[in-house]
Amino acid sequence: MMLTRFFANPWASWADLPSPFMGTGLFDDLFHDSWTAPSVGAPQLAIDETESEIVVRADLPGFSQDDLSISVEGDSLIIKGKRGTKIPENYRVLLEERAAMNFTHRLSLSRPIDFDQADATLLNGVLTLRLPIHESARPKQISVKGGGES
Amino acid sequence: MTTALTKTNGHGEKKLHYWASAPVDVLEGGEEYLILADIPGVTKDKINISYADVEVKIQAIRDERAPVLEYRRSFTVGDNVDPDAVSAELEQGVLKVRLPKLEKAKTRTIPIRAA
Repeated sequence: MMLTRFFANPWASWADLPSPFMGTGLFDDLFHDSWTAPSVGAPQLAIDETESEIVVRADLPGFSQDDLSISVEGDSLIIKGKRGTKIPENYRVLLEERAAMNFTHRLSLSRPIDFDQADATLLNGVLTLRLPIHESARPKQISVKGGGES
Repeated sequence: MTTALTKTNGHGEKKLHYWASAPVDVLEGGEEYLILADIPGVTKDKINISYADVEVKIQAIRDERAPVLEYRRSFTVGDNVDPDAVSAELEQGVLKVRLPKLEKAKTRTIPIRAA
């Protein structure tokens, strides 16, 4: 795995599934990230990597483009998002499961990305971020030239 | 929480298929009930909503890539919903189902006349 997922995975689900070690002080550090402010309802990221690109996907139902910001700081890719739950006027809540989301994902990129070619789309509540790996860092095949038989 | 099972398609191949419970908000207004469900990745042709026997069932299939995920929820809403007027819309991965109340169940505001 070339990307280090700082806050997100594989512990993203700890927020709704308390660790049996929580509070004992033994393993608390595994579940906390001192670099990132606590996020609320952070989506899990699915990250696929090929020789030519890294694809990051996140489920972000109800988000519009304006609710998201994607930026690059040094070797880090930062995805920020915020979704408020707006209850329309004159309605009362009978059941509320859709949590407010306010999160920051910081991904450490260990391969150079060609950000000029990077592309983000938001379709049906799914963010797909395509990060092409810079030409200089892609694996190259070196062909062996046939020489004369000696 | 998701549960995995394998389904066999017509060609005898086993396909991994997951069930998931979509998070929902249920709201009540004077004229209608409103169900909001997070179903990211689902297109509107893959959603099935039914209302029968005072129960609303929502089923949505997400199959844009493997593994296939099936969202399922059902709610008992009582018999004060007009079944012919139920409508739904999908916006950015959020399904909004409107269940208008029957005339007798609507909230009425009684004006107070000045004496």
